[in-house]
Amino acid sequence: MRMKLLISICLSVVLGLTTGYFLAPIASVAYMQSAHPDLFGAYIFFLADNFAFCLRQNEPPTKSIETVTKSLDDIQTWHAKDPKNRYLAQETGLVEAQRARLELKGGQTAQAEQDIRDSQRELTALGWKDVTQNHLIKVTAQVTSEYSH
Amino acid sequence: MKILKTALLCICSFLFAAVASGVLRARYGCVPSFKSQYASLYESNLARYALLQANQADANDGRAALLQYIGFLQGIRRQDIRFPERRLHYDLGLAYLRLFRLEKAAGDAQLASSHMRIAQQELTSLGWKKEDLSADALEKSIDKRQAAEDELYGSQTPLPNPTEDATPSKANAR
Repeated sequence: MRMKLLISICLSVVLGLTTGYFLAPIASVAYMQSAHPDLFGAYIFFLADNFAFCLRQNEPPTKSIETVTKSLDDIQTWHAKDPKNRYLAQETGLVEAQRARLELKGGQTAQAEQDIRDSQRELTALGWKDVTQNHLIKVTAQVTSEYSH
Repeated sequence: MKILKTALLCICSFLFAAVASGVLRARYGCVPSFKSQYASLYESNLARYALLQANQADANDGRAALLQYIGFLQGIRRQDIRFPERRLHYDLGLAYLRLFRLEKAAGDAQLASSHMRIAQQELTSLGWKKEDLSADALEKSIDKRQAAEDELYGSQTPLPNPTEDATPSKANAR
């Protein structure tokens, strides 16, 4: 009887150790999300930023615009949660300018103008000195180029 | 009754083992690893933010962004987050050199020289030669770098055709 009890406890311990081992990463992500939200957000921003600026060569502009729009939605959602975050404000402005650049490429002038206006509003609030359309397009083209090479 | 006791004992053993193993793995494995990965990603995000603010925005906004970036890098060091030591020294050195340039342009020579001293301390750890670490050499080096960045991101250069991507360059966003 004692032997059976010992074996049951040993099995429970082994099962417990295994369960804990495999649950630790999930618990760690939850911990990071609550204790270090800025660091945790970095992963999401990194992905959104990559999707917005790391564009595939020869992809049609409409497809790129879709991808950038999805990234912009994600960034704007985070920005709405933390409106004072200046990094997110810059990211929003840059991604809006990036979408405008792609819209100009695809001949969607009206949407591009609207995006440039939104971008100018964000970046002016951040103290940017030159927010002309051509300059913003140059900056986003440069950022895209940094990702491509 | 005996079966119930055994079951209870097994459940307690299971829970204790699961919590112990989970906490140990999270504490010494997963959390430090996640912190390290996320810090690395956030560092690259903040580096570009600070660079663009320093290049494109007015002095106060540029200074605020650089200080936020420096604060983050110092936080990595303070919290003992796993991060390449040489990269940390280099990034801090470069950020302080940018601040030096900013304060010098603003006419605060004392603050500028204090930033220069910190930059020199950080870059000394990289094993740079003594002559490369002199204030003059570092000032020349940051001026050169700034000129290259101005050319890439500034508005002095001819404007590109919006349908073309910018010219590839070796200089990166950091």
